[in-house]
Amino acid sequence: MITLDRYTAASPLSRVDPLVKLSFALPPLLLCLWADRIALSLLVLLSMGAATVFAGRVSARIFIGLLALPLAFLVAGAAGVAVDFSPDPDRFAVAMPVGGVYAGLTASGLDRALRLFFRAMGSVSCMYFIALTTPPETLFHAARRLRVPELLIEMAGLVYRFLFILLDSAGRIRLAQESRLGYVDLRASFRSLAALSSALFLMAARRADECYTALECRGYAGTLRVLHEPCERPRSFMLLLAGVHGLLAAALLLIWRYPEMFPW
Amino acid sequence: MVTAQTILEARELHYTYPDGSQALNGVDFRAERGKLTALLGSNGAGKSSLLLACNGIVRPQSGTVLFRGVPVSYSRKGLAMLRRQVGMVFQNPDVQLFSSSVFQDISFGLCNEGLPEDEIRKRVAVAMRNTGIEALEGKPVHRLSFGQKKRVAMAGVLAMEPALLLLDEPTAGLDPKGAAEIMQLVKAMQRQSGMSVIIATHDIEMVPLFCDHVCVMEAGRVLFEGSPEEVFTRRDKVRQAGLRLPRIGHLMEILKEKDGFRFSEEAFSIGSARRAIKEWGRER
Ligand SMILES: Nc1ncnc2c1ncn2[C@@H]1O[C@H](COP(=O)(O)OP(=O)(O)OP(=O)(O)O)[C@@H](O)[C@H]1O
Ligand SMILES: [Mg+2]
Repeated sequence: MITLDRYTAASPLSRVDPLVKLSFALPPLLLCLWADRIALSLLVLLSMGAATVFAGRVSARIFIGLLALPLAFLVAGAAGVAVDFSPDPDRFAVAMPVGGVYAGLTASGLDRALRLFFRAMGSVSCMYFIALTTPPETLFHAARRLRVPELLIEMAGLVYRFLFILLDSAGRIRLAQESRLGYVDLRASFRSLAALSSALFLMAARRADECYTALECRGYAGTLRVLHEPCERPRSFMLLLAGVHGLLAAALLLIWRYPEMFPW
Repeated sequence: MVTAQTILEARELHYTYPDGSQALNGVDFRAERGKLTALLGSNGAGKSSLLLACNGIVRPQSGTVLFRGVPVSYSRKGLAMLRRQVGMVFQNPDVQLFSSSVFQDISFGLCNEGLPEDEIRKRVAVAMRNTGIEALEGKPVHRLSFGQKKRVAMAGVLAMEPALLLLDEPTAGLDPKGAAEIMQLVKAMQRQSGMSVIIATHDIEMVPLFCDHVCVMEAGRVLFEGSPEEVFTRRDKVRQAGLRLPRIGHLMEILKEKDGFRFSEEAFSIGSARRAIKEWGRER
């Protein structure tokens, strides 16, 4: 299992007010989607990458590795956009015959595909900035300040916590089964998997009971009231925000003013 | 008999779980104020169930639990009052830690008490320092080791400064150093604030080192009780309860019975055994 929590907790940006972080990452995301210019998308990708790696102290390998995740879908999707079919081979820059028609790349198809590709990458990088530097508790806290109903936030917090316990238990049971040849053939696999799921279900029910008892012991009375670690709004991050937004605004202005210099 | 020194007393408790397993079968039990009382018993003896009864979680079908001489009221308010003063640390910390943030989990009980924010922050910081988990503050709970989780669970209860602390198997699953540290911490807290402690355990070696009073449980009742020395002197009954002597006690028994040593006092810890053997050497 790859889980991002390991990076978020260690990040020096983890304590920065998540609303400030949102106001840092959201405008570039919208810019990517709205402007749909390769140059701008690339700039967003680079600046978000730099912010995550240098300010957020997430290793560049992790960031790039995560960008590779949507790559498979994106390449398939972009290829679909780029490739056209026509009986006339002269329409294409490159073409090959498929059945009775020709499949190939046109300049405009290629342009569309590239724009789609960078637009997606730029937007995803904005989300990764948040995902890699913000522990869920601070997100929940932000949601509370945005007046999301308390019940939803509590549920999300509990689900997050118990998801790991569930994964952990499932992993252990599976290991125990494997060590007793539970997955040697298809038949055994089906049987083991069924046993694992029912064991997990029973365990979850029992665990819920025990957990409720434990909460009661500490005076639980219907709401999970906890104190939050204070959020910070460090100057350095504010400067980063101003810098990146300024850069993007300047780039946007430049492209708008001199469109002929930036055909893409 | 309730003396001013008794903080909690259980009289004739009977409890059967809904599925029919009888966990408590006439428990009579007393815990002294400011003392460390151990509930010693083999697996399934009913130790955890008795602790739950002390906290009002398990409501016995018959019998009474008295806290400070007053029968526990099982009304919502009565239970809240009781639990404010009786804190419980569970055997499995994963049961108890509901938040993925260490800080938030420790603050939970304090928030429920309705304390002001800076008081909560102060107490959380003190509890984290006392349990030695300051370095874990930023870490998500599911990335902690078992022993670390146990400490966090303990900090969450200690922060509430209970008058009576219930610990279910505090040393189980810890390495020797961790187990000793946890017990020293409990002992220090107890000395410092006069907190009373009840420990359910089958960690026999720990008992003579840290406990003031021992109740040996078997099949849902207290078989016999006394100071650690008194209890372990009654070897047959200890063995009847499915337990054994501390290793040192066993060694002293063999020295006495097989090798002709004579000791004037019973010894169950290294310190007292050393004293006894030195004295024996002097007398010869
Ligand atoms: N939630 C439950 N539902 C049904 N029966 C239970 C439950 N918890 C405990 N029991 C039963 O009650 C009896 C006493 O259990 P208890 O947990 O109090 O023992 P224990 O002394 O704490 O044992 P251990 O040393 O294993 O923790 C056992 O027979 C057990 O099977
Ligand atoms: Mg138990």
